[in-house]
Amino acid sequence: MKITPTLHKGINIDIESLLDWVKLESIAVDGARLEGKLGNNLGAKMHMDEDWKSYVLPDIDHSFSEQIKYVSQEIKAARSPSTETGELQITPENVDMWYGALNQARLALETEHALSILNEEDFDHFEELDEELKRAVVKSHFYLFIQSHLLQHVMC
Amino acid sequence: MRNNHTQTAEKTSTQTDSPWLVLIHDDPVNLMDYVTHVIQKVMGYNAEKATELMMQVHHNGKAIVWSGQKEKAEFYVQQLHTYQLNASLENA
Repeated sequence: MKITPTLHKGINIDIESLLDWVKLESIAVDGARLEGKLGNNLGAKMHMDEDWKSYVLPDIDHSFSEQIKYVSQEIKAARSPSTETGELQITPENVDMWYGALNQARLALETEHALSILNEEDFDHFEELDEELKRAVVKSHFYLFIQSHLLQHVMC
Repeated sequence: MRNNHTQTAEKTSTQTDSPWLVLIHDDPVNLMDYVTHVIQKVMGYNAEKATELMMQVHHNGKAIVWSGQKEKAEFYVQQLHTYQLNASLENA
């Protein structure tokens, strides 16, 4: 997979193998695990009155679902059954959808595995970590890598 | 009775007048540049002020990013949640 900035303030993702598709498809799979919960989690530090729960929360959760759906559809549309390669473009117009879906995926991994409490020592002995935890770390770093490109080249 | 009415009226007036605070709380996922970006986008602040507030969130665990009327404060919190920032609303 190659990620390159474009002349029009976007980025291109060149997909070069089946594994690249699997990595990208995991964004929506991971992100969807917080479906219906994230709005509530984000408001955990405030008192949510009934109006907020009835009117605001469903809107917020709907916008998160739309991000996941959008990214999933973009990846599906870019994938041709006849070839392993493909291309995705993230532009200023759709960057919020991509960034949001990637963030949901990282939030889900953080919620499930508490990755932020891993320290240098854990990374020094990375091979000894639980397999599921290792997968979560690698995926989270991959999502973070794309987000960093989006911040640097598209959202700046 | 009158006194009670007066006290109630004063209390209601105080509650109405006290500003509502919009707070952003630190979290382990959102990137510092992203938090700055969202503060600029939602609150309309310039880069310098947004960065200063983001650093307050980073160092103190939270920052008051706006205060004022409840309706507008609720709108800001809703927007911040939409961008996946941990935000809350408090009556000062």
